[in-house]
Amino acid sequence: MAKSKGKPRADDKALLAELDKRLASLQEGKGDWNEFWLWWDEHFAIKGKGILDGFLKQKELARGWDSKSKPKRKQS
Amino acid sequence: MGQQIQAEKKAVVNASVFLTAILVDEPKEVRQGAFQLLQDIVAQKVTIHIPDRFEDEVLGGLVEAVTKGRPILATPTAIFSALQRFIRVATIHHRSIDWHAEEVLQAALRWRVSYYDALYLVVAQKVGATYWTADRKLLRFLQHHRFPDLPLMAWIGDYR
Repeated sequence: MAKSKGKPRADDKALLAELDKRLASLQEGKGDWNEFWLWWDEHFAIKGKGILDGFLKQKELARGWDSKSKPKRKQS
Repeated sequence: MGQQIQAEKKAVVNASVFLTAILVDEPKEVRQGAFQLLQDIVAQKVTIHIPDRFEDEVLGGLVEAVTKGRPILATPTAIFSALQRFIRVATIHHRSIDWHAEEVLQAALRWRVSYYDALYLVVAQKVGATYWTADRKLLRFLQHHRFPDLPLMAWIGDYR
């Protein structure tokens, strides 16, 4: 499970309303994308190393690319 | 990889691209490509096409991310809702209407990839889109084998 220590949870509804407002502004050509992504990371990001690699590794397993698996023996 | 690829007007993205946008500790170059693609979606510079399994795949990745990592502020539900803002404008391709299990199965066997890899590639092939992914190993494998009927494919870190 996710570790819950740290900052208290924000009000999701308010956060999403703020996101919609910012995206609408950007769509109209107002605002700065770099600033938006900094704000995005502060609110919607997940911290943790190797998460993407773990996700991609599972995909490799689904392709049968697991190099550690042994070839099947013939059934007698 | 390494070369800069001009953004295509049509793009098929897999879940790894969207996940990259929320994983703050992933390499900057990969995230920059994902951010730029999301910006272009909002600005309607690119139209994205996704199979109807896309949201399930993103949710699967989100569960894994939340289990292994720590959301900075928003709850997982809010993070998913935030990502959905970028999916709203996507063209969604539905099973048995826009794509068929049999053709995806045949493609997976032909290209020697997973059924779900093949699904995205088949959608990209059908609509003439570039397939964008964070999965460099998959791209290397497909580029090495040079299957003649694959769509254009690219690594999200090369998106400009």
